[in-house]
Parts: sequence; structure tokens; C-alpha cells
Amino acid sequence: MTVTVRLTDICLDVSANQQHQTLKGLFLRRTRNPRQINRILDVPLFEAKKGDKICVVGRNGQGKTTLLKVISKIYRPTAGTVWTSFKPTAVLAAGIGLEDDFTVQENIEFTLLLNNISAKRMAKISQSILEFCDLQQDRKKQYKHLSSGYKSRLAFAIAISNEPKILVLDEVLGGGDEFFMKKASRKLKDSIIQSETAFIATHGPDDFRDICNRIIVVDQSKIVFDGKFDQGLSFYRNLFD
Amino acid sequence: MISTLSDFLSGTFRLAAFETKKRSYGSYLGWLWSIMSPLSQIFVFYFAVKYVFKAGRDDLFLWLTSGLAVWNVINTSMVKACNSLLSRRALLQSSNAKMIKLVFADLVAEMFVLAPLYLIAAAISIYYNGIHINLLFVPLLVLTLTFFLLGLGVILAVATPFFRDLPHLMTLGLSVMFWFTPIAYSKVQLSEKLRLILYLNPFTYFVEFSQLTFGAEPMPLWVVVAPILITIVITVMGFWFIEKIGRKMVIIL
Repeated sequence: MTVTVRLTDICLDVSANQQHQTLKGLFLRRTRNPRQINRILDVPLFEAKKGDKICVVGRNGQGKTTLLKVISKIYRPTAGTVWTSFKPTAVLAAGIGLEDDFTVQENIEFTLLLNNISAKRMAKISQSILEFCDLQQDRKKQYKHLSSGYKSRLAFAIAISNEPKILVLDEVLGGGDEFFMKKASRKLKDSIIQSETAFIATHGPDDFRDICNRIIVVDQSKIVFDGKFDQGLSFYRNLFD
Repeated sequence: MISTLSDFLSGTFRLAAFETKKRSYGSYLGWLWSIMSPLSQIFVFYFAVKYVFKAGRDDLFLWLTSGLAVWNVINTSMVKACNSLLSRRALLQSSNAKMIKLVFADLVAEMFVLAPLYLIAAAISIYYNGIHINLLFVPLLVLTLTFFLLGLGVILAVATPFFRDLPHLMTLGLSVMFWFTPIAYSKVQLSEKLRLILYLNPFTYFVEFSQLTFGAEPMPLWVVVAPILITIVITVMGFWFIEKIGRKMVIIL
């Protein structure tokens, strides 16, 4: 099978005593507190292949999102290399970058531009977003005048609008009514299935049992399990029970 | 390759247009406010130099317009560039959007102001000197200035998250450097030694290029070559900086 993502000798270090920058702090840090380093990700080797739908689980603060950010090339590792066959599409948070004063249509175009969507595909994707969140009639309404439910709908629809080859997801299903949530959940699963390789970080892995063939468990900044879904899930649950 | 570049450029210009729109949302004059500041500066300096200090040149208004247009764009672009990435923390930490595109969009939005000011300068120049050959340098001037600001802007945008004092230093530095740039006075009024100080300031070369482009004096070769050389160095440094350090900065935002 073709490899689509490869991480080799990845380390990501951050300063452990990162403080507010002040002149006093600058001198005190030099004299009193030597610089301490925290390793927040340590992956010697990881590969994902075409067709892999990988569920990423782990407790809060153990490094799931950091791993996804490194795969998506949002964070550059301190050491090691990240190789991907295509630029990954990261859907890590919905609604970021949306401007209150812009209209619905402007916000869609603005966000798609940020995501490097070409002018040719813009109109088609824009139309599908409007249809998906039932906002065709309100395309000229300012974002700030939408109800919070519609804001969530729009944020989700924009986030998931691209058709990526490598999809990196960190639970993005937000608010919205019951019917929209069902529709959104279906759309999310469709996007995962259509992608060549997908990573889904979640605290509810059972929801993805039918589409994920693989699971990785992240604990204390390391991948402690990488294998079949059911085995991985029992490993994860036994680890902390 | 060409279609990727054209997508990048058209995307950047559209983002810049959104940035401009965002800034003027809800105000009656909208974008016009952006040119009010340099225009008022031009009039104030014209009044002060001509009537208070009783100095200046015959083409003082043109001199000030062409000089202050460039200075204003340099000033606003540099301050904007410092916060270009810092102000987009959430976006950069959750998306792999091209950082360089964000910085370029901010800077291009600032450069839109140059168009009306240069139109005014060109109109005055034609009124005084007719269609002078120096005006042919306008496209080269705009291109050089654009790349210079993009290069310098990228360096500042990437460096600011590491050194958060940079925006304050820039504001302070720019207000000092203004007086070391021959805008409100002519360099012929200065001694040789003082003139040398002016040329230690890289912005002097761009201001002078602009002033001579819209004037009728002969254009020495170095006035064209010096800003181009500075631009090449700064642009290469800017690209190197964002390539090497850019994404490393995201985690400390």
C-alpha cells in the first residue's frame, strides 16, 4: 500500500518555564533559572497508508492535538521529518477566522481564500456550503446577526467543505439543532470515507468504529499503541481503568 | 507553476481587498480615511515649510506628496507587519494557511493607499513639468517598493512573536528615522557629514527614488540601482526567514 504520511524521529520541545517577557525576567532567567525543556511529542517512526482511517485517542493534554498539528505541518518539529504525499487539510477548530462584520457570503470566500482554494473552485464550494447550512436566503446577512445555531452550522460547513486527500480532524461538531447535528455527522463521515487517509482525534471513539480501520493511543507525548481498532480500544480502556 | 503563482497572487489581492473592507466597515468614508492621514500630513508640512520656516523649493507640494506617499506606506506597513501573525494566533495554531500570504495580504492592503497619492503626484508633475521621462520609472518604483516592504514585513512579522518589544521599537525608530529622511527638507541644505547619515537610513533611497521619479531633475543611475539592490537583499532575507523560522514561531504565539 502507498504511504501517504511518514513521521521520522519526531521530537517537539518547548520551553518549560515560558514566562511573560520582561526585562527583569530576561536577566533573572539567565542567572537563576536555567532554561528547561519539555518534550511534548516524541515519535520515532509513524506511517499511514492510503485507505487508512485512523482514530486518535488519549486523555486530555497527552499530545493528540500536538500530533495532529505536526502531521498537518502547523507545528514544525524540533527534530525529525514530516512527509506527506499531499498537503493535509486540518480541521482542528471551527469558526476561527470568521469576521463579525462580514456577510455570510464574504466570510465563506474569506475563509476559502485563507485555505488556498482556487478561484475556479470557489463558486462551487461556496454554493455547496450555503446549501448545506440552509443559508442561501441569508447570504447577504452579516455574520454577527446570525443566531448562534446558524453560526455553528456555517463554521462547521466551511471547515468541512474541502475535499481533502489527507484529512486531519479534531472533534469539530459544535452546536446546531438535532436535525442539523445528524446531517453534520453524516457529512463528517462522508468526508472521512472520501479522503485517502484520515486522522480523527476524538473522546468518543465508538462513533467511528464503523469507518476507522486503525487506532493510535497517545499517552505522555508518545504513541503507545498503533494497530487494529478493537484491540486498540481495549488497550486504551484497560490502560486507565 | 504559472497557475499556482497566479492563484497565489489573485488570492493575496482578494485577501488584501477583504482586509481593506474589514478596516472600513460601518464608516461613511470607508477606505478614504486611509488617505486622509497622509493628505493632511502633506498639507501641514507644506504650510510649515513654506510659511513658518519660509524655506523649501518651487515644487514643494510635489516634493512632499511624492516623499510622504512613500513614507506613509513604509510607516503603516511596518507597524502592521509586526502584528500580522501575532494577531492571528488562533488561526495559525489551527490551520496550515500560508503565513506568507497573510503577511502579503496585510502589506498589499496598506499599499493600496499609494495609488491615489501617486495619481495626485503624477497629475501635479504633469501640470508642472509636462509628461517627463522620469515618470516612466513609476512601475519600477512601485515594484521595488512592494518587494522591499514584503521582504521587510515578513522579517518583522516572524520576529515579533519572539521579540514582543519590536512593534514599540519600530514605532519609535520610524518616528526618529522620518527626520533622517529628506522629506521635510532637501539634502542640499545639509553638510556632507550629515548627508552621509541620511544614506545610512535605507528608507532614504526609496523616498529619493520617488521624489526624483515625479520631479524633473535628471535621474542618476544609483538612485535607481541602490533601492533595487536593497530590495533584493531584504527580499531574499525575508524568504529565508519565513522558510527557516516561520512555522517554528507558531508554537510560541
